[in-house]
Amino acid sequence: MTEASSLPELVHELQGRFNFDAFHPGQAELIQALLAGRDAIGVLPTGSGKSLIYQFLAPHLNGLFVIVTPLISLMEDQANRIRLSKLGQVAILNGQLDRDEQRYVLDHLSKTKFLFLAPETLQRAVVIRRLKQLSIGLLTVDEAHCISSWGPDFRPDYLQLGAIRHQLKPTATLALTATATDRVVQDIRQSLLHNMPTYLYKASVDRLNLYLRTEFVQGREDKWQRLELLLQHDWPTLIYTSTRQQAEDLALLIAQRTKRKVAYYHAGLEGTTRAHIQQLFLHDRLDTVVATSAFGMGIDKQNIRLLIHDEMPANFENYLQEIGRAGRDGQPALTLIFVNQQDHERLVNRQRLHQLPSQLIENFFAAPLAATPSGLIEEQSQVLATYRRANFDVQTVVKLLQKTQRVREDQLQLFWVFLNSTKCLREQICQYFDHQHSPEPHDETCCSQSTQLSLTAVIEQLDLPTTSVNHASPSLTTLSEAWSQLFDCTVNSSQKSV
Amino acid sequence: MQPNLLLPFFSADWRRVKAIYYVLAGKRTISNLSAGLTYGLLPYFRLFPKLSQADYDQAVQILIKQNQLVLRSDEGPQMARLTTAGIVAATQLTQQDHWVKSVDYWQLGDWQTQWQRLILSVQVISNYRHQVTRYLPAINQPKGQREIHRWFYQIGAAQQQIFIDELGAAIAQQSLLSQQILVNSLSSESFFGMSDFQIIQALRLTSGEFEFARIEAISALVRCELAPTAPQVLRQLFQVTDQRLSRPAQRTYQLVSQGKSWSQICALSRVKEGTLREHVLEAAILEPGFDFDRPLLQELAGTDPQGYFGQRLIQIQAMRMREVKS
Ligand SMILES: [Zn+2]
Repeated sequence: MTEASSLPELVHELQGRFNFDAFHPGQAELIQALLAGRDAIGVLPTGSGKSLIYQFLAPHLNGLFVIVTPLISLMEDQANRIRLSKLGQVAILNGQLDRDEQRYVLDHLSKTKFLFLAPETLQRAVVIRRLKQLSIGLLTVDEAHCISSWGPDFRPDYLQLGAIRHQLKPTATLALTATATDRVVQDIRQSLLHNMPTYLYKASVDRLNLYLRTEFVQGREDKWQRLELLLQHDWPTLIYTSTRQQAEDLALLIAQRTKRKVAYYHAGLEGTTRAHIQQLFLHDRLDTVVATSAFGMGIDKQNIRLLIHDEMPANFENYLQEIGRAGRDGQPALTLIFVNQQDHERLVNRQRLHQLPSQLIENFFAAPLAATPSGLIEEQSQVLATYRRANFDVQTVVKLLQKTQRVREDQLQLFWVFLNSTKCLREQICQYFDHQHSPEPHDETCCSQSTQLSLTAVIEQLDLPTTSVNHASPSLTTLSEAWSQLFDCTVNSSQKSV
Repeated sequence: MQPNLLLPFFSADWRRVKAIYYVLAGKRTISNLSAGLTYGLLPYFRLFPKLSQADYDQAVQILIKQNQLVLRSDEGPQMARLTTAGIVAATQLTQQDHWVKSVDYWQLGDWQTQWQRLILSVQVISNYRHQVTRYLPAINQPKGQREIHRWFYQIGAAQQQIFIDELGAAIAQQSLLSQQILVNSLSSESFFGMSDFQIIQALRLTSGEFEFARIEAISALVRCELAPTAPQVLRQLFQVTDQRLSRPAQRTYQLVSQGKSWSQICALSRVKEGTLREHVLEAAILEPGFDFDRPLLQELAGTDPQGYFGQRLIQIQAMRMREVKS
């Protein structure tokens, strides 16, 4: 391990190796702590360059870097980004790989520098055994808030990470999350780091270039009218919907009724298709993407000017993470959330529906492994299977599930109150996540509710920069045209002799 | 799943509803494979590896409601067949440009893998020719990426040019619909193509039809590029590396082919005899040159307590004869 470095030294290295002038807030602090041999927790907003931290550390810390990350699409995006940096071999291990692939990755670990894996994969005995044979330089736990049953995305698999960390004995451990309340940070520290002394960096959630807007609507048609008004402007736009079907339907509507170049994006699409959409959006060949939350932070689109929540998410945490994808270039951006009583009721009902009666939980645990007890939807059996895999007993599971259910209900309620409040929205977000930080005082670039100020007035007042996109309706490229662009070649169709 | 697109997988004869699902989803068991063989659906094996049972069941229910499919309501596994209206619709569908005429999992490999190879190889060569070295690869599967990179470093500049010329020529031979889908799905830093959604709009297809049309496009192209007359650089790119048989079945079949006796085979393998018999059946269904006249098979048929093995073998042989004739 190297000596702790001074900030000027780190900046010098950053300029030399990465061609950046300065660190994002938090990066240097966390790097320094880890270089000094401390474990660290970083609460950093989306797009603050988390992957730079492990890229920076790669030549400084010997051994394998293990990065635990829950979503497969994120894993792939991050791995690709590191591949581009050519800092060492990158490998991915998750349940979607076939056996040959998994075996290949495990057999080549000694040549690997960065290993991305899903928390459930890290629990497999064979994986732990192989990792224990190596020295682990850095264990990074991404989306670390999943460890906390006080967080909205609690994953039982994460609870095992503390014990696994103990077995792997990494030189340093880094827990990262974009959204964490104090309570969640406390859980991360306790469960993952066993309350060992830890460096904590907590960035403010306050993003001054984002304008926050709540838009009250009566129903579909009302929503559509306002959407149409917004979509008249040439702003790169991301719209979040809550289901895949909604994303597809809304994209179709936008394609039929506007001149926007639109695509839908969700986890059900082929990998090649998703990569293609990202590329088109990045190069401003698409100006609107309608997506589920699968449209993740791995997507490096800087100039999203308009971000819309077609339906409210279930809590502050998801909301904050999603609006964080707007205006990453630091230019002003408008984030707008449709607020609708029915959407709220639907969410409440969905939560109730997913509630598991303790009888069913007990049945599940009493049943033999292979059997699927009736009364459970697939998603629920999966959750219970995760608990069983993590060796929880039935009473603990019942209690934990009751608690998470209550936490989720409270979080939804709090968020609904926020959406309906008439106070400064930014101030409330800051209060929820970091009460120490006092936000900038409200002004006309801060926030508004549709009950106070019309949407037209907001659009006029913000005067967001536009991005020119060719609006000629997209036409199919011919083979010869494509060949000349791809390869500067012509196509000779007569030479083939089949 | 768009329900009507499932019609051609059924017929005027009764077929097991679940078996069709398992064939399409690519679940490899003797029972599914022999159903695939019997129904002539083996080429469609693993056509939709991500299709969920629930989506499939829902589509079947809709076809029943539309009177295109009827269920047999007696005991045993659920059977279904096409009604007259269903037969008409299925026939019409198979004549469409987007119907999957060219697929064959066993000959052409997994279409998704082939699709990824096409997209990534074009991206890599196009970017290389424009001196672009930093870009996100169009596919994420590490094995697929490694394959293409190895292939790329093996072929020299001359072969690159052959790749470009011959691939262009092969695409030019495809149907207009296939050409449009193949060409516009490609992308690199110098050509962007279109998103699937834009292609669907431009071609006025449903997303289900598009999915079929894409599978047809890549299958027909790969069929071309695997022909013995195709240049080596393309045959290499699209070569089918997967074994027809599952690994354990492959092992058993090897022993059979080596002329080992049954007791030798049992001694050399650590699995139950019943499983070994299943391996032989798998080979009988899938191996092109399977020799049904091997003395070992007669011996096995004779010793099988319920005669199940011998009966299955005779059925499989009959089906394969029929397959060869057609
Ligand atoms: Zn405000």
